[in-house]
Amino acid sequence: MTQPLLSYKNVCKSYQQRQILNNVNLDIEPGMVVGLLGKNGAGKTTLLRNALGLLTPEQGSVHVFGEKSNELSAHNKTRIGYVAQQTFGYEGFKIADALALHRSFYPDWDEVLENKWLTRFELNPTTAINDLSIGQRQTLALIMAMAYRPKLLILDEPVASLDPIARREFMGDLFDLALDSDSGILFSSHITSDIERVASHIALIKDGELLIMDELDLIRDTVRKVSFADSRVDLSAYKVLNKQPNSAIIYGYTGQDIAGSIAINALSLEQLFVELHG
Amino acid sequence: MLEFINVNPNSGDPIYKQLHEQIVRLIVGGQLATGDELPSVRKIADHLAVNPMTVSRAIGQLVDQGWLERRRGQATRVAQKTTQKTDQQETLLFKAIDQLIQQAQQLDVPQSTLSELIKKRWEL
Amino acid sequence: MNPASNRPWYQGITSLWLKEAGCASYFIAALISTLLCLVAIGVDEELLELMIMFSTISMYSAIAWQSIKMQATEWQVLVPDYCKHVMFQGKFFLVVNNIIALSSITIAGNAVLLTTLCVANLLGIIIWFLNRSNSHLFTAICYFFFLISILICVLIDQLSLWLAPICALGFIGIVLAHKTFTNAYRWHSDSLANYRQGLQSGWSPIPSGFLSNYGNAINKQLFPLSYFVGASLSQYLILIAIFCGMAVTVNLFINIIEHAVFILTLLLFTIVTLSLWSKIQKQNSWELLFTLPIYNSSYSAKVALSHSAFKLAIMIAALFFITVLALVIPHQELFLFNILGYALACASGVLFSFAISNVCKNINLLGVFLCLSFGFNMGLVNYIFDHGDSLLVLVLVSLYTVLMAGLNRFTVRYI
Repeated sequence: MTQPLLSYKNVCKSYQQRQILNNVNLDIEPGMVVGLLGKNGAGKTTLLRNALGLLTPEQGSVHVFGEKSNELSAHNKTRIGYVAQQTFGYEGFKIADALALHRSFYPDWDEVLENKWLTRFELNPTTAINDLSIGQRQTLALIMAMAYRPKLLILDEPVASLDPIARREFMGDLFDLALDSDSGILFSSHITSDIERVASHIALIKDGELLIMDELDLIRDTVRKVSFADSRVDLSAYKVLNKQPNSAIIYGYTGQDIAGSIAINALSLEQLFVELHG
Repeated sequence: MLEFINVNPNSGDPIYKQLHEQIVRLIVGGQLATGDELPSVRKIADHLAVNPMTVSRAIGQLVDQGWLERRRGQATRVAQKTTQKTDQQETLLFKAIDQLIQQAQQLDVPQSTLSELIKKRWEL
Repeated sequence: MNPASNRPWYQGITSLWLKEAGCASYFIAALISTLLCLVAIGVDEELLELMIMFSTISMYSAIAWQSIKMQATEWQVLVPDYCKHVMFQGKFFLVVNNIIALSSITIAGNAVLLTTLCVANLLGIIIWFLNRSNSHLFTAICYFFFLISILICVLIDQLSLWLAPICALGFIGIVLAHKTFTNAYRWHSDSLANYRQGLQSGWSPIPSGFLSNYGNAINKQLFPLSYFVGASLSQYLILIAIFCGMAVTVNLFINIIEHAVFILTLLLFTIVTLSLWSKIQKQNSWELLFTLPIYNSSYSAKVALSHSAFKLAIMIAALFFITVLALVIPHQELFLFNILGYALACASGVLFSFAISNVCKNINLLGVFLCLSFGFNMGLVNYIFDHGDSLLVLVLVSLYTVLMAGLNRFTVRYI
């Protein structure tokens, strides 16, 4: 088996006595587009920052390309792309100047790709970055993180401030990267319809715990909401994600009858998300 | 054929299932004839803004089930009609009928009344 | 494959150091005072000493600011050599600064100034190294060391030579130990907030929250100006009032009229410049002001802003008139014309600066014009205090004040 691009092993992290991540295990392999789904404050950003070595876990380990994430070599750093939630850092620059400086740090920068994206997102290279809107800054940050076709791309709420058309086009670029360059992509979002379209895999995080991490289609096919009158119904054959007095969310359902159940319903990703936090 | 397909990420069905069902409908309904070429996976994915892996999973299933055929180095085409496919015309209605029956039961409408209702509406 | 090989060391230098507002305010100050070192050689030894101290510390502050920015930027650690690239430019500036200082010392032929340079470098290095991992301390650290350095220059005529080797030992210690200050330039979760705050307040020495409870009444009076400048407006005014009170008290015992007037004027115009600086940083908050159910149109909001600037000018004039009167009375040197003219000139200077900020929308342009008007106002006010003992001057100053009030009101339409 190939070595995963990014690998979390039993990662725990707390901040000011609050447990943010609790025993997270997650592997990102080439070609995967993993959507990290969770409420605000569930620990998504902390999880991503651990992958970049910005934070170090108290327990467990995070490895990127087989190296510890906080001791990455320069070569491996040029193979990671990252876009933070708040994009800034090139205040005072014009777009062209900022790209020229950024480009100079990456030997494999693809200028054709850069220009294609600049034209497509209608960014004028002579505009000062201070004058850009939040959405435009985000597109610029995406260009800066993707123009060297990183092997591992980490995006924190990447499309939140893009308009729907830019979002669609950006998704196409993500697929190109994942399939043509065999990269792994990990992105956090709480826009379930975007995740549904883009992701090949889903990692669902709640209160710092990774509830599910699997192929999106598999999750959609085998997650069910079971309603019942008697809460003593036997669900031991499945992984129970959430249990309420009269219903439960189960994972691993393959079409059997469940004795004592009133209804077994499939859930869309959004419904699943809402039910889990109900 | 791209214009006949659309997916709804918020619906209860996974996208690959929606694609599968819609292509089957197009074949059974005759919009896609035997031998028609399908656009490439990447083209379909771009058009719908969904992950190409999802499209390729749907097409793969259709090939496995004999709806489509794939030859080395050629575009995917609609396969020869078989008897199994004509049965599908009816199977495709199962889901809608199941829903109808469920609603009828909830409203306490007996089976005979439902049949009559269908007959009445049909002749409208 | 070495990516650094195809990148000239100066790439991005103007954007990094001159165009980013936070860094530029320190860097430009450093550049100007470095050049003033050369000018000061023939003029005044004390000025040279002050300029050496000031330029070096400003330069280190600019570098410290870059290191704050590094800590606030998440992607910085992922870009190999980015930090090195920026810091190399910083080190280059330091070397240039030191070379100019050294050569002006050589030309002036005063070896004792070498001690000043050494002390300035040591203080600067301490600023830089403290800021490399403590972003929240930026303004506090910089001001503490600015204060120390100025005190050193003012209080001690000539530093004793033995300080130089001690400073040299200090450098060596820091250089040897710098590997042990591990997490330099590392990202911190709170550094982005510190960076933003630093960017907005510029050189403002007042920590947010200071005296904020006492200023509410003043801020209410000066709305919507206070809305733009923030709570610091009332804090500045209280600070000025406290200084006025201190000056009057001290003046009862020693005659410090000249010094007190000069320092108060300096303080006033510095504060006005700072307020306008933080106002332009918050340009986009206009929209919020318009949506509040207070004004009928955007124009009436602008007029209200000009009125509050006018009120501020009146408050300043009254405060300064009373203060200077209280300063003069115990020494029986009553020049009513001078004092009136002085107070009016201060008020008109405030109005002038506001008129400039009404017209200038570009932050760089505003910076330049604010500096120019700062110098002009200082000169005018001090001239009037010294020479404004005739009715004619008083009448002229009054006319000037009316003119400035009109200008401030008129330029509102360009905001």
